[in-house]
Amino acid sequence: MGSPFSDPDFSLPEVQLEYLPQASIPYLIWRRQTHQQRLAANYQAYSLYLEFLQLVLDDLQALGLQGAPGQLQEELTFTRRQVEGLVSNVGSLTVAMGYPRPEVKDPLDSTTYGRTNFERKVRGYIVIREYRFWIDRTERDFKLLTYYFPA
Amino acid sequence: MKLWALFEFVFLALLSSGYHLAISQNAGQCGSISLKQLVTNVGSDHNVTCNFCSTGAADTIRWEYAGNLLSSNLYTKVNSTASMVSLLNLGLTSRKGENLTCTSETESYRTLVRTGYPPDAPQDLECVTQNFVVLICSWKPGRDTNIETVYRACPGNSNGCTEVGTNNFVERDFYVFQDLLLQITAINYLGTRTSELFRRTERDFVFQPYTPELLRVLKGPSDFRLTVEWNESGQKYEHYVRIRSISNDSVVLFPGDKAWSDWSPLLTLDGLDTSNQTKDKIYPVDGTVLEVGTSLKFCCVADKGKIVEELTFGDLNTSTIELSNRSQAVRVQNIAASIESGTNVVCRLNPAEYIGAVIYIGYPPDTPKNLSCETRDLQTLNCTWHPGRLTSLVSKRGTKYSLIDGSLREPLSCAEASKIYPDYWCGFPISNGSGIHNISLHAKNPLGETQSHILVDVTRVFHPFAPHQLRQEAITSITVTVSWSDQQDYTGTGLLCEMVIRDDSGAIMLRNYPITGGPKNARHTVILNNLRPYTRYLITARYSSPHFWKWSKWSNIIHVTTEQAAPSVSLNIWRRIKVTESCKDSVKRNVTLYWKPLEAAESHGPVLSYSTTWAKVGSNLSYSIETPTSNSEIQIDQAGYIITVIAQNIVGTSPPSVIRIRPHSDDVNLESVKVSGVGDGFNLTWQRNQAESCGYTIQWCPFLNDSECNITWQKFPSNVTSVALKSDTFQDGVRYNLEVHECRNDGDYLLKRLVGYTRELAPSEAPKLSIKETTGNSVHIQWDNIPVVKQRGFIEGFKVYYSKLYNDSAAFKPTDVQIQNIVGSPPKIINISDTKTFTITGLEPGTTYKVALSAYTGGGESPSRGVTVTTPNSPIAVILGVTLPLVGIITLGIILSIFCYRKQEWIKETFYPDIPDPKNSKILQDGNLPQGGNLCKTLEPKDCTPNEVQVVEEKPIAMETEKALEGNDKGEDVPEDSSDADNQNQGVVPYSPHRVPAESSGKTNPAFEAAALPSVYASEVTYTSIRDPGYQQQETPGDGSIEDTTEVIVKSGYQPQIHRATNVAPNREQPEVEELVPHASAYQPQAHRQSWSLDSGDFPLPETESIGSPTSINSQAFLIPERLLGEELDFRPNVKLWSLPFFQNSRMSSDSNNS
Repeated sequence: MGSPFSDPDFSLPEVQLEYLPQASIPYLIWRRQTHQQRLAANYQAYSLYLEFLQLVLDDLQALGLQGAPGQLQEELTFTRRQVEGLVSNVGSLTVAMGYPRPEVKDPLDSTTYGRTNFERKVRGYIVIREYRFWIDRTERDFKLLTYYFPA
Repeated sequence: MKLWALFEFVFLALLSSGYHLAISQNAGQCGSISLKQLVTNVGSDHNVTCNFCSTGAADTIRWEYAGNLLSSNLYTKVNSTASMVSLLNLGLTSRKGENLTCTSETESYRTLVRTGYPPDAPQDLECVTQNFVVLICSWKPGRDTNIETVYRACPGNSNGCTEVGTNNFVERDFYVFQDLLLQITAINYLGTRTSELFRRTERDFVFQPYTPELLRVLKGPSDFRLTVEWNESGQKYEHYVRIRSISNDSVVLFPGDKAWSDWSPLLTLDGLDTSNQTKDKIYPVDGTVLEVGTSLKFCCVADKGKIVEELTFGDLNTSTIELSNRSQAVRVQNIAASIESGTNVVCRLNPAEYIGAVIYIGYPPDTPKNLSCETRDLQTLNCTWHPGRLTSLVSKRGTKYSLIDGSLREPLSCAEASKIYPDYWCGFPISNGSGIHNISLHAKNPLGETQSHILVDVTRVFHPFAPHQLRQEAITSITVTVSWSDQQDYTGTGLLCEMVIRDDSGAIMLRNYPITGGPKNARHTVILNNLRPYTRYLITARYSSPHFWKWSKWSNIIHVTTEQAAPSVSLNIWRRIKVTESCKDSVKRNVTLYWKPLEAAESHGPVLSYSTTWAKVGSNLSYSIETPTSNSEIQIDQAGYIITVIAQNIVGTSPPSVIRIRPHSDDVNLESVKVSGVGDGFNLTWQRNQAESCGYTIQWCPFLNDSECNITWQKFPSNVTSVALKSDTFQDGVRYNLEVHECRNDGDYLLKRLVGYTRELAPSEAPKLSIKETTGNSVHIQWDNIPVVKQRGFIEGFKVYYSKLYNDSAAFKPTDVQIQNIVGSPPKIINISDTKTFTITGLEPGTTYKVALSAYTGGGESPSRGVTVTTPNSPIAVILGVTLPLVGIITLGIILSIFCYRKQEWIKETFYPDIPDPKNSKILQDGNLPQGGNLCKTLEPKDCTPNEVQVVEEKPIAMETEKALEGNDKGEDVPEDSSDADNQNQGVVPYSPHRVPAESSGKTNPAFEAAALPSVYASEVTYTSIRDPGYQQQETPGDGSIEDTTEVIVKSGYQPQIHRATNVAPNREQPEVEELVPHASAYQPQAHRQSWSLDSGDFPLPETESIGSPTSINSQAFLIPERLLGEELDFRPNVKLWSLPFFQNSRMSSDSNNS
């Protein structure tokens, strides 16, 4: 995406994307979550990330960068497919544990987001950045769940 | 003004000369100046007279011109009331003119003088319309005339002329479909010039809109879109925004040029950073495409209440220009191309917010290069090109290509480059497979547009597909019929088919066949003739158009072997005749026939057998045998025979080869004659004996060993009597026997027998030499022949070398002494090759000689073989040699006897003293003899050394360690002799101040010992100790049994000296110690062992009383004798430890050297 996005020390800590689920949560709240809450948070977050990842893919196309083989688009498509699987599994797990399937709001309102090339780049960056945090959170969520439900 | 001009024009008309204007007043009248007004050419001369009314006024006259008083020599007094001034070479006046004044005391008169030039002819008529109603045609007036010039515009003839006045344009009604004719006449007081007759068509007219005028600027809903309102009348605004216009009409409406209107006046707008905008902005806006090399300013404007913190352009380090708190700019000169995803302009605001824009910087499209078109199927025309310089712009900003051909209704948009076509390409159908196409290719991107053109004749760009499914149809021994098909429908199209026929030897034949193409998959057949029988061919084909453009690819390759045929040539045969039995009447002869195998190209198939047929001359009876090999043997009698040999393959037989064997006769046995080779062969000549010779045969065979040689031959026609015989089989240093045979009617006759070498070499072996006889001054030697194979040349003679042997050791050298080793007399050369003995004379008796012999040929000298020989002595020398030593020994014996006799007493005292008698002993006499067991006191030392034995038990450790460290220990006085160790063990020599320290240095490296000691109890400590013995010892788990040891170590820091002998590691710790040795050679122990280094002077002194003794660095001996310190036994281990630093030190230094 070019400098400064590709610079190693680049971050946009102050910038957030509206409606993008954030992994950030006070520790005690996270720790005190019920299983149902925990699973629901994951389910809702990744359901939204599915939409956002699709948005980033669309942005990529709009930026005219869809053609390059073996690059961002392929990785994103792969990631999105993984997230689809994850959402499906978490959903099944929730139902299997006797909880109702969590509701997910429609997150995207196309008028809310800018459509300049620059804004598309920033948006892609933030989605991926936040997605990484969520993956970390999910990993620990499931560690915790395995603790309560040893195999 | 116009009226004035008209007025002047009237005057002008009156003054037909028109040369200049001089308005005269009543000449000579009192109170007047002669000219009221003067308009004239620059540089002309004029006289002006002033008439006063009062007499005598002329005497007081003053003339002024242009405010300057004229000098009196310029004017003259006409009479008392009149004065005349001469204006010479008038310069250019101002446009208003200059005043000329005559003044007397009472009167003053004035006239106006103007100068200028006649007009130039008007030029360059240009007509502009702003409203399509009126044309404004203007012209260039040429030189400034300085005086008023008026113009008359006439439409071709003098009718309808328009007086234009001083303007240099005229307005005409704008008519279309009619040429405008206009002739302009320029008129002023000094002349009249008429222009050419201008003819202007509609195309020459320019449409230039009215200059717009900005009224106000409105911000649109999206960024940087302005709504501009203007009118075309004259209100004035100030700055910031201005506008101009140009017609966007299509060609149909107005064919002339379009010009920009003038810029509107500037309109003042509020600065963005001063306005109350509600959004942050960055300029240029996101998505802007710019050309590489542009220089421009990027600007970031923050919303009200925000501050611009930072503005960056890509990864470029540019200094920002602070415009205000709310805005910053970056000026980028000569911007570089951006990557595919564009260059980011990022603006960081405070409070934290990022705004930015992606700018795409690239090049306008390059002109497409290498545009070429071809057709492969005669139905589509494919054009390819190279895009030239990359634009750095992709996707929707990338270059779009479109192709325009007359036959296409709409431009064809072209695909991008792909893997199949590395260049860009476009294909479009062509109707009839022929014709000429004018193709233009347009390349367009946001930065520009280019195009290239090409004219394509379809028949000349036909690139056919390769012939398809090539296969063989029929085969004979010399022809192959092949067929193939077309991949496309080439019906009626001329094609050229090139066949490549390659045989196994790699020889290539090219055959071209003109073909008329057929429908798809129709087959074409050709016969390839003039091939060789029984030959394997590779056949492949390709197409081209008759108007060569490109070859197609090659078709598949087929492998074809032609049929066999009978051998085409006769065999080359030769014979050898041996008489096996010769009685009076009957002679039996063995004839061996040889022939050379036929070449593959001659045999036309594998030869199955050879048939030999022989018949006696004059007899019809013939015999025949068949052999598979390339020779045969038959037995015949003394009569003449005719022998025929033929080769036979599966198809037929070769032409017969005939050789005649003449009747047996006792030939004169020809002697072999030596012949010299010429390096790679022999030059042979012979006499022609018979006129009816049927040719010559030279036969030769190498003499390689005693077995029968392999005959080789070569045949020459009858007119040849000298040849340079050459063959690949000739070898240097090999003897060849050659025979020249002449062919006659009844058989072959031996003409010459020769022997020779193509090139002689030195013999490979020396002759075997032996001594036959030796006298006092001569040696008779003899030798054997060298075997023929090893002679490698004709022996020309021998060389005998001999020399004296001076020292005994030389006599033991091998007898095969090289020539170079023999110094002395030059070799005796024996030039006779067949002699085998030689006598060396003139030698000295009783002397040992080295004698060597070598043979030499034309190729050099053989190695030599030597023997040692001693000539017998003369008798006198023998006698002297025996008697002289004898006399000497006797004399010595006598002298010794005399001496002994004289010193008899002294010898006895010295060597045989009297044995004392115990009864005479003082001790016994004094009665001091102790009682019984006390006698053992004299042996006390032996019994009092048990501790020594304990100490010495660690010796094996020391020895092992020593060995391990030996390599690094050079120069150290480390005892290696185990006997020393034994001595110590026994305690007989309890202590050697010189040796022990060194020895112990080998024994106990402080590091090792520190490690080894605790490890008796806890092995982990061993390793930690090695790394840091000083500290790790403290960490040893509280084990009471070792506490004192560790304590002592801790106390003394790094002082290994204070270890007690009792703490010496038992033998079972040896392996550990050994194991640690390599570790010790690493860097870690050294690192903190520096404090040990005596060289550094930091060697820590023992805190306890100096139990051991310091040693000298160099001698490693104790400076204080051990016994002065007392407690010898306890010190022994300490002494060992004392020397450890030396050891360690030397190791360290050698290590550090290595590192």
